[in-house]
Amino acid sequence: MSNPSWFSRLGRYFHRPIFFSLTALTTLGAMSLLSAAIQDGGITPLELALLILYAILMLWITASFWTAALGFVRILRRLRQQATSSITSRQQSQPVLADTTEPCKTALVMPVYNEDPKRVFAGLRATYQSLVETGQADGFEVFVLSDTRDPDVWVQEEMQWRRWARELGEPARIFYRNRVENTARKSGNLAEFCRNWGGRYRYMIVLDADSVMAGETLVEMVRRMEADSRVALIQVPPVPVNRSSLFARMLQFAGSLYGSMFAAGLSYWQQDTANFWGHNAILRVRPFTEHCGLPQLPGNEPFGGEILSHDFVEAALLARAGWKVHLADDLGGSYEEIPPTLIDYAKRDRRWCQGNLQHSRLVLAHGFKSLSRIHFVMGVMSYLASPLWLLFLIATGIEAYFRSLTVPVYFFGDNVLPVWPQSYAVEMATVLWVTLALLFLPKFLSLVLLAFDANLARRFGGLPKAAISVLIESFFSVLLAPVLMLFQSKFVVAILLRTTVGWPTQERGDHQTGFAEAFGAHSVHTLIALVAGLATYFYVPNFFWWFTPVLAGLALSIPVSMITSRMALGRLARRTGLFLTPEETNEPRVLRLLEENLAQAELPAMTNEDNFWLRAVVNPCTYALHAAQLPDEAPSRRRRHALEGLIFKLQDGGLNGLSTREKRTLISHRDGLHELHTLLWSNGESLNSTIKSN
Amino acid sequence: MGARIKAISTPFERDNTPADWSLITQRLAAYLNALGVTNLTEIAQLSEQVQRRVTARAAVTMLEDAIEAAIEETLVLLDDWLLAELGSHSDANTLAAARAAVLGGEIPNWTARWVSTTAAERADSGFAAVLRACHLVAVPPLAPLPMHTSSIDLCCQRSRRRMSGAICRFFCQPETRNP
Repeated sequence: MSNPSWFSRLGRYFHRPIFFSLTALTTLGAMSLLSAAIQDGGITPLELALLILYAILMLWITASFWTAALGFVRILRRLRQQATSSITSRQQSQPVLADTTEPCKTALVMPVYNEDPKRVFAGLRATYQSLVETGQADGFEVFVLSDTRDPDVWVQEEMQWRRWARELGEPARIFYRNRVENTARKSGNLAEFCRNWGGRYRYMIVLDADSVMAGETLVEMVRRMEADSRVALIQVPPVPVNRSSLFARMLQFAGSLYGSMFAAGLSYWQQDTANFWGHNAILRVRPFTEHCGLPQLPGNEPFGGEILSHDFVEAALLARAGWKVHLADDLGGSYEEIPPTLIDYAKRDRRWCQGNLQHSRLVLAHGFKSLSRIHFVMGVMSYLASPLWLLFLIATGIEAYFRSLTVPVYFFGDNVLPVWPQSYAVEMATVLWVTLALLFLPKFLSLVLLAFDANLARRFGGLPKAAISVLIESFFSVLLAPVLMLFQSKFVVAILLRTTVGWPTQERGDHQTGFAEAFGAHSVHTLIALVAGLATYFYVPNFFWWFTPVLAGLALSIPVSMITSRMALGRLARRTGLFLTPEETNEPRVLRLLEENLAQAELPAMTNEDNFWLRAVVNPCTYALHAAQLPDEAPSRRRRHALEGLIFKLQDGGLNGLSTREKRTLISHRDGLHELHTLLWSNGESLNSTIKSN
Repeated sequence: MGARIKAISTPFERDNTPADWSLITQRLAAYLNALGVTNLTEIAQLSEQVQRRVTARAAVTMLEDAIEAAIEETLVLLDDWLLAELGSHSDANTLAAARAAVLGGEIPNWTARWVSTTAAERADSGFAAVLRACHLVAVPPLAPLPMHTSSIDLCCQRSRRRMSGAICRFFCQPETRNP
């Protein structure tokens, strides 16, 4: 019993019971408060609906709260033990790569789809440069897995790859391939990589187009995989960085300050059945290929067909097969970029929402571990919570209206003295305060953490400024929450009505929201706020004042959306020491490398040109480079005729006459490319004038 | 496009040879320039070679457009030279890579060699090695791993299928119920 490691091993069995008991007890407590408040002489169907909605929402909130609280305790304990458990000491004690007969190369794979090539390659270069600085780069190879359909972006990707590959020379460590068909999107992209080159690698580290990871972290991830042969996946939580707008800087600050606490809490109760977040994670290739070939779900979209959010399912399949999936909350050096504006954030939600709701079909599927089912439920709830909150608000408003209609009867029966109606204002206020406390306490706990660790506090700009930042962030989160609630509710309803949401490319770069864009996106929210505000003010005035935070968020959505998208305000906040993150106060080397690479990434003589693909076809050098990347196919009359048809279409209709798919087809085959190149040079003026006129 | 291309007509004589080579030469010079041939003597020499090829081609086949033929022959001339340098056993991918290398500016003074080297000099294996070394490998050799589709049995999927099968049998195949 005196052995601490034995004690800690025993303690691990209690992590989940502790978390789930705390969550269940808190939910029950809050529910009992609400039921006491609303059960006034029996329960109406509306009150029952309110109770059920509240129970579901409270379960969701308390789970988040206890995750953060347990994470808080965990980080506090870690702070005390920090001195003895640094990465470097562990690196010295164990070899990085074990000497076995199995190939031990690690592939850094980055699946991309119509992303900005400059940013993609600048990020990858930074990650690789950081890896080289560790002296361990020999064990890694980089693979850009392009699913890009846009011919302009495709050609630019090739140019970027070529430039980098030429710089690095032999042996080749930077690879690039563009898939002919992007079957099954990102999961299909990864699967195709595994099918073709999986035998070459023991591990693959999956990166997103905006991911950046420090070399030390990559090496440590491999070391941890080597240390435990039953681990199939280690997820390193990415920290949001590099954005300048006020909205993004608030999110970065929140992600950095509260995110670490949530990650620590998740890791505490998820243990060996953690989740996969799709990127910034290392995977053992062999079990991944054995168990993670994703099937199509029966039925049609949006709930059937391809599994969109593949990451959760892959983690569940690995866990089902008995492999461990870890969340390395103690590892840093993992970064990602986030949407710069509220509207972009909502757009990203729109893409994710369908994939997460699709998981509702998997919750009760056979064979999955209970915790994997909980991951699915949490994924569903992260979007379903919004319409549930909306319903709860509507139901509360209706209940308040009915109560306002009730005329109190002071004298009835044989009573001589008046019978005063019982007031439940205290109970209702308690319910509200408990809910608010559960929502906002994690923010307070994060400040307590800073109070305990002066060094950490300094990296967040000092405790006073961090506290002010938390206050402002909380204020804006109150304003933004109802807007996001309406956005997400709309997405959920659209999906439930079987309207495909689609999978548009995310706009990742910094930009600001103009009035037209804000008006288009938020005018409905403002209208709803006005109508709901007037209705509650005149019909349920008591409820109106409780409702003002929600109404204010919606009514001010247009200016708030525009103001928070301003980069000048974000920079001003930074200058005044607000929303500072450790990555800003002491910029990590890998992020500095990213900045340098971005500055150098301009392609000479090819910038600021439209129709890059066509100019690339015309330019003999680019034409030759692109042709060299295409497969050598046997000539086919059918294809030749199809290509000639497209060339005629280009001549007759100009560029606007060709779809992106047709443009891509034209430059996807050596013979088509050759035909087009020759034609453009031999018949230049007429075609060029057509092209220019478009 | 580097140089501006003028619209020109390319009429043919009765014997199918282009009537006005000066117009074609103008376009050809622009194209060679875009390929990276900037020396006027080299351009003249290459234009002459291309003209000979186009004329030879016109003698055996009907040409639709002389400029198009000239551009095509320029590329064939380039490929012929690269194949001669690389050796006849080279495949299409090696040739495409070599073309990308020279046009991408990875080999200095390649135009002079293209124009002036004799067949004997082309046997120089050193230059072929330089050309091959410029070949950037886009993907490593295949190392396949099988990746089969995993099965996910959704809740009630089997019972629903069984029930719908039974209903279908009941309504659609009455003869099986009444032997």
